[in-house]
Amino acid sequence: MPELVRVENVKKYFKVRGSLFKAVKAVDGVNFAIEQGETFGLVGESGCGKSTLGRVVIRLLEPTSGKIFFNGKDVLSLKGEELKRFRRSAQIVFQDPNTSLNPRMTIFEILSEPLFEHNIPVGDPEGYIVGQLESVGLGKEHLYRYPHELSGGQKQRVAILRALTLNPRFIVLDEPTSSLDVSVQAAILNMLKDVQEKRKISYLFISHDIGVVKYMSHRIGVMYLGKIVEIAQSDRIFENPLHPYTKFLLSSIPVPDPKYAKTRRRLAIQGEPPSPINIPRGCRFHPRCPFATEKCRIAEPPLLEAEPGHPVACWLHGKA
Amino acid sequence: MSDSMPGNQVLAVRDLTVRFYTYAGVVHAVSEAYLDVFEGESIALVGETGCGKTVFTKAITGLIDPPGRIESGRVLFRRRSGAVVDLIRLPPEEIREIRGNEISYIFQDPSSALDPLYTAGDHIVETITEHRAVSSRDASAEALQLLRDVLIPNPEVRIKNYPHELSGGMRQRVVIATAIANKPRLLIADEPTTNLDVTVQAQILDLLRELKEKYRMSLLLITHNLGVVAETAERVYVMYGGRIAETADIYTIFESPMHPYTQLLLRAVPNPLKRIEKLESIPGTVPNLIDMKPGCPFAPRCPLVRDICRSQNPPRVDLGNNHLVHCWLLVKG
Repeated sequence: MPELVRVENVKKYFKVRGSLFKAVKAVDGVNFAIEQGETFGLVGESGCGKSTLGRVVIRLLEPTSGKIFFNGKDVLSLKGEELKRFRRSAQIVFQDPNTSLNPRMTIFEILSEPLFEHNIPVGDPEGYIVGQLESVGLGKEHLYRYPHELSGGQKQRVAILRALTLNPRFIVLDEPTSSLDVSVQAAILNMLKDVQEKRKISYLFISHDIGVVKYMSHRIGVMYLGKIVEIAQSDRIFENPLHPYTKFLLSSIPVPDPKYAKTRRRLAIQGEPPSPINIPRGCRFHPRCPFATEKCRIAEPPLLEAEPGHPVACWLHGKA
Repeated sequence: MSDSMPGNQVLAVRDLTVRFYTYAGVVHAVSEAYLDVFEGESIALVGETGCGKTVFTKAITGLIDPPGRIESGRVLFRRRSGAVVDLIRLPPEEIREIRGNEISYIFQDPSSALDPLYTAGDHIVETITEHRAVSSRDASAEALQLLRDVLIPNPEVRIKNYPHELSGGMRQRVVIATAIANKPRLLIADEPTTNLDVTVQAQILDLLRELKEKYRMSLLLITHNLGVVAETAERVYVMYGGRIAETADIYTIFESPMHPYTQLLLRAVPNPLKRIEKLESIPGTVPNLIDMKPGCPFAPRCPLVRDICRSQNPPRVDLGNNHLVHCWLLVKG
C-alpha cells in the first residue's frame, strides 16, 4: 500500500511561563509513516506526548520544527483552499464526546455542519444524515436530539460519524473508547474496523490500553517522553519487544487470563517517568533502565532497524 | 441465616438492598446483594459503570447519605475481638470505631481522598491517633515506617509533602499507607488504579498483594477491569444492574462462566496476548436503575432471553464449589 502520512523529525515544545529557556518538550523528534488503509497504534503513558503528536499530525497544533507530508504534500506549507481540502481529508475523534460535541446543537446540526461548511451537495441533508445514523446503529429518532439525551456510546458514535461525514482519508483516534464501558467499547471498535475496511481509511490510533491498540492496529509505535522508542508489527511487538521500556510496559498490562497473570514474572522497574521539562541526557530512559551502560548516559540512541520493519531506539539493539 | 459464621470468615453480607429516593424516581442501586469474605482472601467485585458496585461496598459500613437508604439486609463482620456484629444495626459511634480501623477504604481518586491542606504524614498520624492511644510522636514514627512499607522513595522528605507536591502514583501510595495504618482486617479498594498509568498500576497492585500477605488482611477489590481481576483476586462477584449476576472462583469465572453477561463481557475485552479477529459486543447499554421492574436486569440485552426473564427476578442457582449464578436458563424443567 502506498504511504499516506509521513512525519519527519517533528518537535513540539510548549514554553513555560515565567522562564526564557524552559520548555515542555511534549514531542521531541518523532519519525514515522502511515500507509493507506493502515492503522498505526500509538501507546505510552500519560504525559508521553501521544495526544500532542496526534494533534500536530493533522495540524491542529503547529509543530515547533519538523515536516509532515500528507499524500506527498507538505502539510505545513498549505494555505487557503488547499488547507481547507486537507482539513476535509484529515479528521480527529477525541476521547470525551461530552466535551467534543456542542451541547447546544442537535445531532442533525452537528452532523450537517461539516457538509454546509465545505459546500458538499447531498440533496436531502435530513435523509442523508438519517442514512448515516442508521449505518452506526442510531436512527431517525435521534436526529433532533441533543447530545445530553444520548448515552456515552451513542455520543461517541456521533463524534465518529462527524469525522466520517467528509469522507476523510485519515482519522486520528485519540483514546476514542477510554470513556466507555467495555461492553460498549467492543461495538465502537468493530464499527471503526468495518468503516476502515469499506473506505480504506488510515487511522492513527492513540490509547493507553494496549489490548485495544493491539486489536485495532497493524503496526504499533511505543512512545516515551516525547520520542518513539520502538515500532513494529502489532504481533511482533508482543512476541519480541526489544526496547527495555517496551518490555516493561508490556509486562505491566493486566491480562484477563488468571493462569497467565498469576504465573508470569514482571519486569520490575521502579519510579515514574520524569518531567518532560527536564529530559535526562543521553537515552531518556536510562535513569530507570536496568540495562543502562555508560554509553546510554552520554548519547541518545537513534531509531534504527533491529530486524526488518522493526526499528528500536536503544544502544543494546540495532545496527549502529 | 443466623448471626454465626465460620471462624475464618470476616464478612458476610446478606440480602442488602439500597435505594436512592430522587426527584427522577427511586434508584434501585443495589438489590438483594450478598458477599462473603474469608480471612486472607482477595475478592473482586466486577461490574460496569452504574452497576451499583461502589454503593454496595459503601453500604457495608453505612457510608450512604440521604437521599440514599439501606432498605434491608445484614452485614455481619467479625471484629478483632472475635465478636460478630451486624454493621447495619450498630450505633454510629461503634461504626466509627470500626471504619478506618478494622475496615478501611481506598477510593478511586487519590486527589480527592487527600485533604490538600494536610501533609502526607498528617493524614496517617490522624488515622492512627483517632483509633489508638498513641502519642503523636510515636504515630509520626509509625507513619514514616508506613511510607517506607508502601515503597515511597525518600519517606523522610515525603512525609512533609502536601498532596499537590506528589504524583498520582505517590498520592495513591499515601492513601494506601493511611488505609493500612491500623492494620485493618478488611481493606476495601474501590478502583484503586483506574486513574493511574499501567506501569504505576502494576506497581500498586503488586504492593497491595504484598501488604495483604504481610498484614494478613482480606482484600475486597472493586474494579471494572477484568485484567486487574485476573491479576489480583481469588474469588469474583460479577454485578449487573444492582444485582449479583454470578460468583465463583477466579478460574471458573474466566474459563467456564455460566451467566450470559459474564460470558459476553469476557469476550468483549481484547486480550493483548491473543490474536482476536473480531471482538464480540453486547448490544444496548447498561440499564437505568430508576424505577426498576421485576425481572432480570440483563434481559433487554441478553441474546438468550426468555419470557420469564422479563417478568420475574432470576433465582439463585447453586452449581457447586461456591459457583452461584442468577439466571433462568440454568433452571431445569
